[in-house]
Amino acid sequence: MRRFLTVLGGLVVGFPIFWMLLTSFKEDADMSSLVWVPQVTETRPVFDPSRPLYRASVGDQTMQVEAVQPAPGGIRVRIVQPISRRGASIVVPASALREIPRDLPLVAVKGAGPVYQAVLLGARNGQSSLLPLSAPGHRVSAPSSEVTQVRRFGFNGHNYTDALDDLPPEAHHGATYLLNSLLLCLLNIAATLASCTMVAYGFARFRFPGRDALFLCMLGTMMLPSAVTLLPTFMIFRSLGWIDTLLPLWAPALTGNAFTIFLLRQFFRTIPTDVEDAAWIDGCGRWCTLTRVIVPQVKPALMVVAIWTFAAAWNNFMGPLIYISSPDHMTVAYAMQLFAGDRSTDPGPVMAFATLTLIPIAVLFVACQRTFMRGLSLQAENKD
Amino acid sequence: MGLRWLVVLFAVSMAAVAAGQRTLVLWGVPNDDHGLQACIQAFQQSHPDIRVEALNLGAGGLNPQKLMTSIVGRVPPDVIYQDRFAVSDWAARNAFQPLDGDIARDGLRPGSFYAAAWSEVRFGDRAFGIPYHIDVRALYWNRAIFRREAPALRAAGLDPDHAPRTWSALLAYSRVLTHANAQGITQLGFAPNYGNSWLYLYAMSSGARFFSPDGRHSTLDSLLTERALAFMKRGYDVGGGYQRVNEFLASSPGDDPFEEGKVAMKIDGDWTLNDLARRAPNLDFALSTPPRPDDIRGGDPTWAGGTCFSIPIGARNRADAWQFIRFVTSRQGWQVAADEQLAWARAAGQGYAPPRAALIAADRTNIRSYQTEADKRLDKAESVVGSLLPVAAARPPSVAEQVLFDAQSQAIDEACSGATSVRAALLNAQAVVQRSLDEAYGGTEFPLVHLGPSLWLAPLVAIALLFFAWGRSIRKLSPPRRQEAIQGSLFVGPWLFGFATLSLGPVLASLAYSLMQWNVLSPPRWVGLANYRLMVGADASNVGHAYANVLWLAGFGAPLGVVTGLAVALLLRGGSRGVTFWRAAYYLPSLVPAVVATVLWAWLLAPTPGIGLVNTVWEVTLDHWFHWPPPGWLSAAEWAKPAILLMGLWGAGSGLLLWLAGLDAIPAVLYEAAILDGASAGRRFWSVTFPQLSPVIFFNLVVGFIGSFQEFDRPYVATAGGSFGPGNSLLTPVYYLFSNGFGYFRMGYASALAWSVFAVIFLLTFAQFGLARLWVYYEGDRK
Repeated sequence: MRRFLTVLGGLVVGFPIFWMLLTSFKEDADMSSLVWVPQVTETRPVFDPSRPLYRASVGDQTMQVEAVQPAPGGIRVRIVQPISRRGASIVVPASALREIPRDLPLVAVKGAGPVYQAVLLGARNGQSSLLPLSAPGHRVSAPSSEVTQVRRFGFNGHNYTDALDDLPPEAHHGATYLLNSLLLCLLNIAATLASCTMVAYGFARFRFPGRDALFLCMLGTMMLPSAVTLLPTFMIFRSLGWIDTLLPLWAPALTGNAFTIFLLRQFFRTIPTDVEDAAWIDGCGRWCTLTRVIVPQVKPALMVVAIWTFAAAWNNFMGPLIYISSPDHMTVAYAMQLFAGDRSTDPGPVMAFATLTLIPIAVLFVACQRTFMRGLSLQAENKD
Repeated sequence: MGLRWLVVLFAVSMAAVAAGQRTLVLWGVPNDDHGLQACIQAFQQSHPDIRVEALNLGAGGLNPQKLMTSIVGRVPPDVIYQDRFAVSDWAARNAFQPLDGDIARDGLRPGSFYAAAWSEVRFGDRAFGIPYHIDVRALYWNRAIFRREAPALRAAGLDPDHAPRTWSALLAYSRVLTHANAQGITQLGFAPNYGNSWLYLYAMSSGARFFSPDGRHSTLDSLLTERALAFMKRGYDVGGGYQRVNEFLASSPGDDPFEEGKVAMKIDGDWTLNDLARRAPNLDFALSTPPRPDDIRGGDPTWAGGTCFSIPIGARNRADAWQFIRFVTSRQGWQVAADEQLAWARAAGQGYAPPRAALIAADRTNIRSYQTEADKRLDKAESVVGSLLPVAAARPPSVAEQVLFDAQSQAIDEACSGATSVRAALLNAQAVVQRSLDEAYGGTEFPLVHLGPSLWLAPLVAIALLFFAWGRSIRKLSPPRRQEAIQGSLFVGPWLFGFATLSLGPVLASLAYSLMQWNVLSPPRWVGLANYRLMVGADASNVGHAYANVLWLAGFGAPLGVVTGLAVALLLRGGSRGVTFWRAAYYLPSLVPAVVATVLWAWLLAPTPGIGLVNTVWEVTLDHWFHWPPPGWLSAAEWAKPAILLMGLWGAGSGLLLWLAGLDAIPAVLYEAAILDGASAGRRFWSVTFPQLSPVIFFNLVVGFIGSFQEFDRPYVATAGGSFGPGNSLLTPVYYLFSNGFGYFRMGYASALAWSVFAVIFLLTFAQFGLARLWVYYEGDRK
C-alpha cells in the first residue's frame, strides 16, 4: 500500500516536469492537451523559383533572406531568420547571397485520382499550389480541401531554436543570461563562504563586549522581512551608481548571511579546542588557525552552504527585477519571466526556454545529490 | 609578466578610444514597427559614430515600472517612445526633460504638427515630447447592411445612403438595424464602446471638461459628462442591454464582428483601416464624422491619440538623443518610414492603410503617395480621416491621466451594466481621480525636509558614539583579553558593517521615510502619520484586501505545506529499496525556480479544457460525474489563490529531509511500547509521532507562515507584473508595496506598508509562540 502511494505521489509530483518537456517538443498544431505523442510535419527541401530563399553572409552574421529589389550597393533583401530581426530590410552585395532550398511541408493529395504526395508551396482563396514529388518542377493546383499534411511521430526541436533566436541581439542567443547567472552564483558562493566562516569563527571562539547582544541581533535579522529594507537599500545602491549592474546582486553577500553564520557557528562550537590550542602552540595565528585547521574540518557543511547559495542565487528573481534593465546584465530567472510574459500565447517556445532554465540546476542536483540530501539532515541535526 | 598585461590593457583601451562610438539607448520601439526600425537604421548609417541600442523590454513594449526605476536609479534610456497621453503623468513627476530649449534653437514650429498632437505633449507651459503618430476616431458604417435594410430605414424616416449625424439619429438607426431571435442578437446596430471611443468621445463632443482650468479638481461628475454617459447606457439598452451586447460581441473569439458584417456601425480608430484592408477585402464600409449631440454645437467632433518621443531626466547622451528625435520626426525620417512600410505591405501582397503622421506636411505626403494603391474604400476613408485630424481634440494633459482612464473605464462598466446609476458611477470615478490629484498637488501645507546633511551626519555620529563606548569597555580588559576582543571584532567586522549599512540603517531609514511623502525626483515633505492614516482610511479597501488575500494564502498554505511534507515523509521513512530515488524525485520540484514553476503551472491550469491539462481531466471526471464546471483558475477571482496554493504545494518537498531526520530521531522504544499496549497505527501516530515531532512541526509552521506572508514571486509572474489578478485576488502586501515603491516611487507610503507587514508578521508569530504552549511537546520539559 505504501509502495503504491509512493509511486502514485511521485508520478503526480513529477508529472508537470514531464508535461513541460513534452510541450516543448510539440508543434503548434499539437498544443491541445489531449495530444500525448508529439508529431512533426514532414518537409522536403525545395528550390522555389517564385520565392527564392538565400543565405546571406554579412560580416560575421549569417542570415536567411528573401530578395526584394535591386538597390544601390547590391540587392535589398528582407530578413527571414534570425527571428529577432525578421522583417527588417537591408542591402547586401549580390556576391554575399547564395540560394538555398526551402523546407516546405509535405502533403498528401486525395483528389479524383489516386493519392499522391506533393510539396505545398502556398494556398490562397481555397486553392493550394503544389509540386508533386513524381513530377518535380511541374506546378499543380488543387483545392485545399483535398490536401492534408503528412505528419509522423517525432520531436520538434524548433521550439528551442525559436526561443533562443527570438532574444535581443545583446543576449547572444541566451549565452549572456547564462553567463550572468553563473557569474552571480560563483561570486555569491565565494563571498558567502569567505565572510560567513570569518564571522562565525568570530562569534564562536572570541569573547568581546556585546558579543551575545550582537548575536541576538543577527538572529533577529532572520525574522526581518526583506520588504522593509528594500527601498532604502535601493537608495544606497543608487547613490553608489550601482543600478543596472550586477553588483547589488552579489556585493551584500560579502557581509554574510545570518542563517549560514548561525549554522557554521554551531558547527564550530562542536570542534574541540585542543586542535586550535595545538596550532596556537605551533605558532599559527588566529587567521591561520581558521583557514588551515578549522575550515578543512567543516568542508561538508561548506559544500552544502555552497549548493544552497547556488540554488538561491540562480533562482533569485526579485533582485534582477528591481535592479537590472539592460539585456546584457539580465539573468536567466528574470529573462524567463520576460520571455513568458512576452510570448504568453506560444506555449512551445516558453516551455522550451523553461526547460533550458532548469538544466543547470538539475545537472547540479544530480551531480551533488548526496551532498544535497546530507545538507538537509545537517539542518535537522542543528535544530537543537 | 606584468608588462605584458600593461601592453594588452593599453591596446584594448586604444581600441576603445579609436572605436569612439557613442551609444544611444532607445526604449519602447516595437520590433514589428517596420517603419521606425528602418528609420533607426537610416539614422545609424548617416551617423556612424553613434550606436543605437533599441531595447524592447518584456511584454513587447515599455514597462512603466522599469522606466521609473531606471530614471530614479540614474540609468535611464536616452530616448523613449511611448503613448503620448502618458507624457503629462511623467512630466508631472519630474521624470522627463523639457525640450523647449532645443525646439526654439532648431526653429521647430509647433504649428507644423496637428494641434491635438502638439497640445498633448505639453504640460504646464512646457513641451516634454515630440509627437510621432496621430490617430483619430471616426464612425465606421457597413454600407451593405444599410442598403439591405433600406426599406426598413426609410419606413423609420432615416436615410439609407448616409450615416447618422446626431445622437438621436444614431439611436434610431441602431434600433432599426438591431435584430435578435430567441438565442440572442443576430445583428447589432451600434455598441457605444465597441471599437475605441470610451467616455472621452461622447463627453468631449458635448463640450465637457474633465478637469478644472487649474488642473487640480476633477470635474468628471459634471452634468455634460453625465449626459454623455447616460447616452452610452441608452445606446447599449437599444441594442438589447450591456450584458447581451457584450456577449454577442465576444461570441466568436478571434473574429471581429464588424469585419464579419454582424455589426452595422462602430466608432473606432483609423488604425482599424489596416486590419480591414488585410482581412476584410469584400466588406463595403465607409467612414464618417462621429455623431454629435443634437442640441450642442461647440463640442469637439472627435479625439486624437498617438505616440511621441521623449528624453528622460538624467539621460546620458542628450545631444545625440535630440538629434535622433529630430531626424525621426522630420519629413525626411517620415519618408524613410513610409517607404519601408509601403514596400513591406506590397511584398506581403496586402492592402494597406498608412498610420498618420503628426507632422502635417509628412502626413500629406504619405497620403498622396499611398493613394496610388487601388482600394477606393480606403481612399475615401482616408480623406474622412484627413478632414478629422485638424479638428480633433486631445485629452487634457494631467498628472492623473492614467488614473482618469482607469476610472472612466470602470464608470462605463458600472453605469452601462446597471450596477450603479450613472450619477453614482461618475461620483465614484471623480473621487478616485480627485484623490490622485490631491496627492500630487496637495500636501503643500506640509514642510519640506532637507535630507542632505542629516542623511550622513546622524549615522556617523551614532557610529562614532558606539565606537567610543566600545573602546571604553575594551580598555577595561586585561591586555590578552583586549587583544582577543579586538581580533574577535575584526573577524565579525564584515557582518557588523553589513548589519549597520544593510539592516539597521535601512530599517531606521524606512521608518523615517514612512513619515514623509517623497518620490525621489521631487523634494520630500514631512507628513507625520499621514501615510499610516491613508493605509487604514482612504486606501483601506486595497490594503485590507491585500492582507485578506495573504492571510488566506498563508493560513491555508502553511498548514497544508506541513501536512503534505509530513505525509510524504511518513511515506518515505525507512530504508526500503529505492527510497533514495523517490526522495530525490519528491525533492526536485522544490529546486525549480519560482518563475519557472509559476509559468509551468499557469500553462497546466489554462482554463480552457483541451488546452490546460488539469481542466481537460476535470471536464472528463469531476464535471462529468458531479457537474462541477471546470474552474477558471488564474483567470477567475475565486480560483486564482487556490492556483497559487497549488503551485506552492508542488514545492513542498523542500522540507522533506528535515521531516525525515525528525522522524528518525523518535526513539524506537516508544513505538515498541505502544505496540505492546495494543495501539493501532493511527493511535501510534497521534500519541507517539505527533507529540515527538511537534517542535519540528511548529518550526515549519512558523517559518512557512512567515514565508507565505511575504508572497511576491508567484503572484507577480502569474500576472506578468501587469495587474493584481482578476478582481485584485492576487494582491498581496509585498506586491502592493512593490507596485507603490518601484512603480510609482511613493517612498513614504511603500515604507509605511512595509512596516505594517513587519508588525503583522511579528504579532502573528508572537501569537503562534503563545499558542505553542498548548500543543507543542518538548521532550526535555518536565511536567
